[in-house]
Amino acid sequence: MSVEELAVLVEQLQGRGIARCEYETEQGSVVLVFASHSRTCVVEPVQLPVPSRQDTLVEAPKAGRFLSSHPLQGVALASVGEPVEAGAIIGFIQVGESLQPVKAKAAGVMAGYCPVDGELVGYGAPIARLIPS
Amino acid sequence: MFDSVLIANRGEIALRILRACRALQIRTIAVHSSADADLRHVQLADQALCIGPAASAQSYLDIGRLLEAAELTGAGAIHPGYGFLSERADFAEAVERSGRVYVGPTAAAIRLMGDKVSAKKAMLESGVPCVPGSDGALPSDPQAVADIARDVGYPLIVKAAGGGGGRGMRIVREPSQLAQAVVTTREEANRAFGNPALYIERFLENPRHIEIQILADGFGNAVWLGERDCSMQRRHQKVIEESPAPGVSREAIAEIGQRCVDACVHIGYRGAGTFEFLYEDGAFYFIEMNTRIQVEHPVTELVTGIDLVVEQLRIARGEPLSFGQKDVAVTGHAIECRINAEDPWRFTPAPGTVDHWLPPGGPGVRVESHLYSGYRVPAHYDSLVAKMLTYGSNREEAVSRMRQALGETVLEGIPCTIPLHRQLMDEPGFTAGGYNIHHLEHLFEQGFGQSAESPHER
Repeated sequence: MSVEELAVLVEQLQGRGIARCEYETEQGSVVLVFASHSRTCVVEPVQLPVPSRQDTLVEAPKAGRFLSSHPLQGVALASVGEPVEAGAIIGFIQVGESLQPVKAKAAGVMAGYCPVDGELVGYGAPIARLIPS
Repeated sequence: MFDSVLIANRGEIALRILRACRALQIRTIAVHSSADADLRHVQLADQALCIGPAASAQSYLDIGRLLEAAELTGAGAIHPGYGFLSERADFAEAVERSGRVYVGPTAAAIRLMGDKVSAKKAMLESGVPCVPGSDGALPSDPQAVADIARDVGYPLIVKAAGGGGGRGMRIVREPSQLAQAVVTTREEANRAFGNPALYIERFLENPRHIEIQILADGFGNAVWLGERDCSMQRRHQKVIEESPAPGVSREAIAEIGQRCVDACVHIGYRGAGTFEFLYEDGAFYFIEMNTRIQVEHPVTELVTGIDLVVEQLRIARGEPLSFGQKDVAVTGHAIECRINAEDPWRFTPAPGTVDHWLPPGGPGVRVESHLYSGYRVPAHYDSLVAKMLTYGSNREEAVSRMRQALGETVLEGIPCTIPLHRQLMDEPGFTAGGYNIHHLEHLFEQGFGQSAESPHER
């Protein structure tokens, strides 16, 4: 997929209530994440390799609603293609008024979030995929 | 009124509750541990949510996680099933405090009947016969205990007020053994149940276990729904249950049943419940009340035609009982065999993957099970994997159908107790009926069934 084609895709999807778009080919995958409160794309589209066994999954520490950002900040805590340190907070699980951080167990490069913002996830559900740095 | 139920349990009872909810068009929410994602009711539920790891303490026994799950899923009510939190007054209280309906009795009733001393007091006040014993908790003075023991008579049994299921009890045959038994049981009770209170009762040598099923709506209406004979036991765990109890007159059952109903009204009971009795020489002696649905409830359903779990839900919805005592009739005979994933002769749990499961069928056969071919029985929980029930116009027909049902069942891949049940169906004591609670233990002492069949069902 060319940069021009990606630009067209982003333009057509943003602001239409779409939170996430994944496009996979044999050559790699593209993940687009759209902030629900904004008309702009919070994550620059990047070319990523296809999932592999070396990837690590960050799992939900408890059941609740997934948030990629702190409710008071509104900016995703991790960006696709950016490095994530071990122990870094990449999101939150919300139950009522309480927030529990979702932490990366190992360092890696953010490949993308698995649930969309506000989605109900169970204990141990995959939250994000990290590619080895 | 509620339109959704969170099922706070697993295995066959979770599936049973799901089916009862479906009968009333109630939305079902399955919560489960990470070891139970493949359970049948999780697949069938309208909504499912994993709430914690395999360990029960962090999943099925974690009140905080269950209430959070109820909030996240919008559950209107919580059904505790049996085991786990089903007889925890603090859980019932927490559910009600969260604004949801607890499918079961009030926390006060659970608390009253959960403590054996207060339960016995309430039963005596209601005219329910109890085993002769101490009047309330034992004092700390050893001489005072010895005096009480002399009045009760030997042999006697020292029991923990907060105990149950065969734990926290000690038989004392001679006065010289009493002091040590009290010290040891008190220490064990404090450690296991967080309650050092003890009481003593006359020890009945050869009793049967007969229990009365009741339903009460909390509006002063209560009915008894016949009895179950659960005398086939191993290590205080029930193995076979049946109804009616062979050889016990209907008049005697009706009299004790009415006393149970009176007790329900006296304590303001609501929901399904079971009064357990020891029965010896024609007399009933109350031992405890289970303030929940029991494993063996389908036995009663088969002989009365009443769906007890549906009735539980209706009562929880605030509906008065739709039938009275005159509408309850016990017809025919029903038997239940508990199928556990265990070595049938040593009773050691044997989790593993079910390669092939083919349950029986035909007239008068009912199977309650969450098994399917390929299902992996986890090691973390109770080993009960199926309840096989048969019904007949009389006991002979029910036993004959059970023999046939056990014979055609295929359960491959894990050891299970089907070989034990097959042998019991032809055991003279069982076929005669009316045996006492030590019968199976005595059979094993005599070498019954040892190595008779491979533990793996074929």
